[in-house]
Amino acid sequence: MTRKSSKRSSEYHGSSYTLEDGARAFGQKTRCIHDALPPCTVACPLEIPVRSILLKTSKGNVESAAIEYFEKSVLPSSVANLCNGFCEKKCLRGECDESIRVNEIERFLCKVSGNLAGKRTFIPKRKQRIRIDGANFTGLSCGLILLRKGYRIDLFDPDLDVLSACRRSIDLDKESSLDFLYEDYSLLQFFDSFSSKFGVDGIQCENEAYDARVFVVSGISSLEILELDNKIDTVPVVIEEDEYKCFIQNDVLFIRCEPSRNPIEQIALGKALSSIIDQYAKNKILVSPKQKNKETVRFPYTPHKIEYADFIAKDGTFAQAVSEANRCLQCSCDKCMTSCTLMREGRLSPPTYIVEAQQSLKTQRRLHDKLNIRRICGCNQCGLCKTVCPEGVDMGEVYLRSRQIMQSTGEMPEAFYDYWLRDLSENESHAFVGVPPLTEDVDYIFFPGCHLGSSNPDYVLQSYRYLLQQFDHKVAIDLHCCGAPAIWAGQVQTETTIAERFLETWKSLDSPKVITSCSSCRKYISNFSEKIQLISLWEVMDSSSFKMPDKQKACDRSIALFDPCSSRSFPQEQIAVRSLLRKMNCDFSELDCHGELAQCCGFGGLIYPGNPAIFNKILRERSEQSRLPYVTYCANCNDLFLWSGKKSKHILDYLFPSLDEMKYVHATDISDHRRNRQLLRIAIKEELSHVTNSEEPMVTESVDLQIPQDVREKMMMQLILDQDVECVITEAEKQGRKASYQDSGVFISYLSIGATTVWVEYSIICDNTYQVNNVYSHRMKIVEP
Amino acid sequence: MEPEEIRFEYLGNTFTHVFPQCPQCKLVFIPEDIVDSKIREVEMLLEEK
Repeated sequence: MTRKSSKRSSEYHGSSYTLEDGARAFGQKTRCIHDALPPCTVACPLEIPVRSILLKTSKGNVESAAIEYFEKSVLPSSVANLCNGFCEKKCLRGECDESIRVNEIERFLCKVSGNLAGKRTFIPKRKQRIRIDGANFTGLSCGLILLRKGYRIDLFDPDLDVLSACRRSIDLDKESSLDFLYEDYSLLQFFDSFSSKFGVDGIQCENEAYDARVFVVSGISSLEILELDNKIDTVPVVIEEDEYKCFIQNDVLFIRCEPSRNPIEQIALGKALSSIIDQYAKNKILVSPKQKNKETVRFPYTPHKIEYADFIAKDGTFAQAVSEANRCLQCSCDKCMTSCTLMREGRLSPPTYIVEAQQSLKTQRRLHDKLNIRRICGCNQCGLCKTVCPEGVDMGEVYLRSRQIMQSTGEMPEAFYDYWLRDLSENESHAFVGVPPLTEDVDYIFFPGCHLGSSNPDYVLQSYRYLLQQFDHKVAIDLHCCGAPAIWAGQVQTETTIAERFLETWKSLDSPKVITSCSSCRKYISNFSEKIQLISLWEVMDSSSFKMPDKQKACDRSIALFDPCSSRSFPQEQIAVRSLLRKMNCDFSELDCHGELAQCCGFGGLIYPGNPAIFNKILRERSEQSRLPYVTYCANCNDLFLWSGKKSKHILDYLFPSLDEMKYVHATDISDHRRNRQLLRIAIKEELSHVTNSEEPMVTESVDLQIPQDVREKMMMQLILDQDVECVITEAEKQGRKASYQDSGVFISYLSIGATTVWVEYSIICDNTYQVNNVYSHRMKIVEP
Repeated sequence: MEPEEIRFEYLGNTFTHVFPQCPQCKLVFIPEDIVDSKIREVEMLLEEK
């Protein structure tokens, strides 16, 4: 046998926390596309919220849809009739069949909704007068928005009427009618504060009477333009990358602009001008309007099949319009929110969660700032959010870094992870690496993980016996922990110690291949060093001459396969498990969330003490995915399902039928886990006939505790061990520090154990035998005088 | 047992409340219903602050 002594390795930097790591995790908020505008709205010069309008229409809420459309389009009839479909060209629906006919829906809304402008209830009154020279689409839209804000508008144009003024400003066939324009013009005429004068050319500037004056070039005479061009001290105002000349004379704002020949772009310019004028009139400052968002986001979509309705607004029915609007894919991304219970429950967007986490971690919080610890400590760390996110945003990393920061600043409540870290420490103090005697070279090291043996020592023992036989005894066994509890608790130091211990052992055995039976162990060990070769027990069994159990004993019942969340990273494991089940003629069915969408059972991230509400919800949701009993290949998942009352089995129950005797009733609690781990260590030592340096005496309870099932369940819920109860009673009896209920023979005492204070009500049956009547605990410490 | 002002400590905060205490051994008695209501409530508040 070859042994190499190696110094403590410090090469592991797995998830050690640095400020850069934190910044990178929180910086992900800019990558999230949840709040991004859909491509239709980005393409539209007017940024009409097409998605929202179609959603309202699809629900039959036509009036609300029309109000939103009228508001954003400014001149609704003109937009509906003249737009050449900026949005339709970018519609994702067009990739699967045909784009949504947005123009037809808009025309339908105009047709059925009549004059909604009359419904405006409150219009502020302002004294300022604005003169607009040019009755094209820019002039009209600018005027209408300002009228709605309460300004007085005077509209002038050299043409004889509004129709010819608009016609001259755009490229339009002579035959095409612009009669719909009167509908939009009537929206301006609705206001008493509006006046217009047509057929007027070369009007002199009556600056005194106005607060602002807009020259819209296509509608006014060249004389006026020349006058403006000769002005000095002009201030440029940028609207969508185009510069427009402005100047202020005697407190009057002058703007000159040259709209494009496209009517929709003209209206967009009118909207921008109205914003400049409004700002000037209110605050006497010139502000360029906000640039339009031009970034197109590629949203993930799954087209639902809806028959393409033959819908034409002119004679379309309400049902047809609803049907057409229903074809909208409602482009948005809420993948993580639909996949993750925690994200869904909060009903906020991922960027909001990130900002919230960041604000929670500020060292100087104000009184009303709330530390959102429930969300930070409610994440399972399963990584599904990152898997489903088209931009790869990892909310798990945000919460993990938050936990690490909280641990480093001492803000993390100790009780949240205290039990698990004490459990880890207990395991690490007794665990060992066993090597078969007389083995010269070790080719493999079996790493069963803490929970498999805790659940049932025979799971590990039988698997190890099989591996020894399979690989000619060249298999060592490592009963240590992979460090997952420390990682999930944000305890970087413990995590590093565990990783270094593993690497030291692994190197001393000449870097053997590691066989895991837990996907989480595999995931975290693979982070220790990229040189480690890993394979799952299931792949070994599937590819080797593993003797399948007799068909009579094997499962032939209907069961559903529950993939543990960490198996998502190892599809080869998932394939091997399915293959093994098929070889056993197992009639299993797949859950909705399987394979690369595998979800956490609730155990991951150790969220139970920090956020019991979300833990219970997650566990219930997972248990209810199928009415069938589950088969899984993670001992944590299996134990948790059994505890929740869900019928479940570990795949090893089927592979080693002797383990199958307990059927679906065996659920181990945390005290069983400790005992089982000890039994496993003893069994492995016997198996290897190998005495290690750290001789461990079998811990037998010095007192006999009789604990009824209801109290045992309470202990499980509050993470109280039999050992803890024993400590309380022993200490109480030793010190005589106990209270009794009026000579009832029932005593009560308490003791601070770890981060909790455990209370036990008990009665003495005889020497060293106690009846435990009740157990409860709290996190607050009683300060002894 | 006699009513005494008992000091508690949680997450760096200290506060007092009257509970029965044995004058000799200083054993305190906090009934389960108080633990499940008031104490749990204060713990949760402090954890979120």
